[in-house]
Amino acid sequence: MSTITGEQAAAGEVTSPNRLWQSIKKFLALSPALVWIFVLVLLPNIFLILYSVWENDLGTISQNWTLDNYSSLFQSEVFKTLLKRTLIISLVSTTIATLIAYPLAYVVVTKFGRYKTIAALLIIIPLWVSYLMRVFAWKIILGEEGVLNGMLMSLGITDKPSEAFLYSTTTVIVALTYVAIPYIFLSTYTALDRIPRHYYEASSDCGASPWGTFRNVIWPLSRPGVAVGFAIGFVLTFGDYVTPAMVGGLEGTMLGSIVLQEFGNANNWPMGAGIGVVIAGAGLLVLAVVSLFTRLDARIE
Amino acid sequence: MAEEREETELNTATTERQEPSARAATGESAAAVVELVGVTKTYPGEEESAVADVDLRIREGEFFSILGSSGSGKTTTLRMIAGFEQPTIGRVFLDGNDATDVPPYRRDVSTVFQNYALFPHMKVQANVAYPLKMSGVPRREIGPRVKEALERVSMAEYAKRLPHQLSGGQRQRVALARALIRGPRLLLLDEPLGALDLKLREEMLFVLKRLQREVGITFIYVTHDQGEALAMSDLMAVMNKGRIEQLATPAEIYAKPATSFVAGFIGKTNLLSCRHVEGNRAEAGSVPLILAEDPKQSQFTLSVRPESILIGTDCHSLPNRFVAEVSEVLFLGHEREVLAKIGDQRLMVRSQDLTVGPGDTIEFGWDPKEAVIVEATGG
Amino acid sequence: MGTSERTPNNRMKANSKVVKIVLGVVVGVAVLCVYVFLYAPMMVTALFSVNDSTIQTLPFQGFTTKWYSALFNDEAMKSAIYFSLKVAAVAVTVSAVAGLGFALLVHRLQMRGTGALQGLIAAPLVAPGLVLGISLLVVFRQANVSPGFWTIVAGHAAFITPLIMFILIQRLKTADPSLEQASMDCGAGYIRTFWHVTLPGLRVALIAGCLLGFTLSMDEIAVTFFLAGTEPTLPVYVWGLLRFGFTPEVNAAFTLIAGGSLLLLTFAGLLLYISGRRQRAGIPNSIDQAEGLGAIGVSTAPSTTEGGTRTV
Repeated sequence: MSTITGEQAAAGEVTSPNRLWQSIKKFLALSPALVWIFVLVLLPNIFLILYSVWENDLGTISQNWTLDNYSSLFQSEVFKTLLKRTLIISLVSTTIATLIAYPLAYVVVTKFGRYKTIAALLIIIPLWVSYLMRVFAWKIILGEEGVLNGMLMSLGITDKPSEAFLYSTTTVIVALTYVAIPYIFLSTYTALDRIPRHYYEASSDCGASPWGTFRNVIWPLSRPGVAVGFAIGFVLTFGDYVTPAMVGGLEGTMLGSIVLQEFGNANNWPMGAGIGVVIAGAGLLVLAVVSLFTRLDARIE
Repeated sequence: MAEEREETELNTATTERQEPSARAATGESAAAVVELVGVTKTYPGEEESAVADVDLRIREGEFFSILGSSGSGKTTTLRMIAGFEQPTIGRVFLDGNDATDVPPYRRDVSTVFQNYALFPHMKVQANVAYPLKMSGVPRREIGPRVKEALERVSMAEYAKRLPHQLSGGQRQRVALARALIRGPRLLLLDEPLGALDLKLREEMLFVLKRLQREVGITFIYVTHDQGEALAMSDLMAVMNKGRIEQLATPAEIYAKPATSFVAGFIGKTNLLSCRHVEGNRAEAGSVPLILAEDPKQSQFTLSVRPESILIGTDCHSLPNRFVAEVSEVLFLGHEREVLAKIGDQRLMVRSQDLTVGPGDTIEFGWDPKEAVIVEATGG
Repeated sequence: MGTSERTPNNRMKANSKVVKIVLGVVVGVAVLCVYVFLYAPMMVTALFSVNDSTIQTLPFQGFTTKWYSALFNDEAMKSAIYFSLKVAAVAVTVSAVAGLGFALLVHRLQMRGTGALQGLIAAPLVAPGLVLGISLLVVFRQANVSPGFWTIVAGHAAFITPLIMFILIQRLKTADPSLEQASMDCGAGYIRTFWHVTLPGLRVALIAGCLLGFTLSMDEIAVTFFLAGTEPTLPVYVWGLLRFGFTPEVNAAFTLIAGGSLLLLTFAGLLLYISGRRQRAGIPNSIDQAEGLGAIGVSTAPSTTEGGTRTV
């Protein structure tokens, strides 16, 4: 109701009745979208934050304001270890994925000619195949009796199955790198593909070698895309709980895993919500830093 | 060593092209800044060649234009000179050296792109400094040279702007400064004025002409605008469907178009398909004509420029003289374009008489020397 | 002939050619490796779904279809598949209506703030599934809605709607506005113009968007896990199987789902490609870099355009 009165108050300033009618129509047209955003975006986030500052009383939630959840989180050694590990896993896998995806995007854009769209599609397609399947398959590949060990043994490189591959931090990093590559590729590919052909040519014409062209023209122009891709990769991997659950074991537990516990067996929703807020906050932080970077960069007309 | 050489020859050119490249190596082409020898370019997946068997020699200090409509192969020709494209067949020589396989960044050639291609993330001064930076010029020399280059195109005060903060004309000037700063042997301009409005375009024509006089290097200017080409060039080539239709001075091309395509493309003209009767007499449909000389073929095309056609009393002494009915009149400001019918032929003439209207009868004619027999071409 | 001058030049050329070839091979192999890396999990799963052994290892024990027949006899699995299909159908229908409406809204209302509007609607698409899942869960709990069919549908619609919206906005951008003006000029009102001109232009993109959304819904686990009640969707059911005792039946299920997804995806891609071409054909001078990829691409990662405006 308050919004409607606000609209009427604003209408007082509008002199022409036609314009009043116009703004009412605009508001009416907008209202379903606003309701949608309110119910599915704003409300959930508000309540997530509220839950994190509510008190947990043996599984029932009393709506008393408290910061205990956060203070006990940041005092807990387990949480601190997990936060650090999650950060490391996430940063390492996103970095590796960027180091793979960006050169790949560069090669696809510059060398694949008219096949570049199909080549790019082939990289993105795995995004639409069951996440669970893609992650689980790494268990088959990396497991103690897995494909990789089998291959290594039949090639005579090792004589007994190595346990190094499954249920470790490394496994989670491999799987998350795998998950992040298509996203980062998409972002960097879009950025590189937007750089017109004639910038390459102009640079070459000015006497720049292919490397000089890349360093001075292509990299500065595609850097925002790399930053955005990195941010997306980070947000995705930082909040993941499926991958650690599938291939991580104890060593590969991440923040997301304990959220699952708190909402499940531990039945401490406020604590879970608190960790959720931390995860969302970390994502927002990275996005904010990235948008600061990209805003400083000039846009291609 | 001989083997090695043969291998590269085979890789890049067909064997029947040995002969022109041998010719080029004999120093005959030494004075030419650019020479294209039997150059054909066919893009993969296309049947028609974009450029078909073009030979071209462009001398030092010349303002050379390549004129053609879109798809005529003019830009492809330019891109092969710049090194962005490799000819399918044929060789490109720069200063007498075979440059066919030399990448663009090792060619002493600069290009002004149609859309300027200024790097959007670099300020004007960084854009202009770029070629110097890339060729390893010491930093303290770069500053003054950039300043000088920007002053030459009257852009010094914009040095700290980004390209998107400039107008089209200003970007054009920066692009010119960037292209000229290294002092290249050759400047290629790919429709440089295409994106500008009429007034700016005229202004830039003068800037270009002045710059070319000042720096004294060869300019190769690609355009679809015959006015620009005629106004600027020492020599021009008219291209159509990948081939050069005529290569001559602007005056010659205007006065003596070699083909019906050139005649139609440069200025307005009346093209009459004629039949030889005898001697210097011919017939266009049912209209008898007198020619300046005996034609070589029995069927030919005659080009008569509207401005060579005289009207009223001026034409009384001319051998080709007609009385015609006016079917259409277009007002052009300083004069009128009159479409007149004689027999089954329609001719366009220019008239300063403001009273002429459809249905009127006018008298006109032309000096046979003003009419040119042209080769028939498609298009 | 000046051979003496030209030979060193040629030798250099020959050398640089060798370097070029070697470099090309190295790059080619590296690119190939990435493709193998990306498709290895799918191929491995498909292979083991026909491997005659309960242990997932090399060497292969022979071909069998028994995991597939076991799958078709597994009542719990079948009811999970049925439940997933139901969820996907309803979620996609809701998303199609909402996405179409929002796309038209964003496109028509040429006013400030539509960027923020898009960003807010897109937030669930970019947010980590975990965050979307628990944030919706707390709201439902607060509203005393018990988890089940409708909570899952709401969760899925939250991220499928922006997907469809972005695909449609992309299409609307390349559409020729004069078509609608011409229709109005011919005397058709808003509704009839929408029905006869606007909608047919969007139909193919809308169908493609729905297909893409459908595969997403069928495969989703991160959000669904929190929103599912006692009745599991297929991924949630499989999740349970994987954690507590495993049979290669799961490989068979995965292979079938992946096959179905790829089929729908190919179909959607073709539709987007065709509709893009048709639209471009109408506007001779529009250079639309967003081919099939752009349409899918922009929608999967909307934040590539505006990094910071999205909130979680």
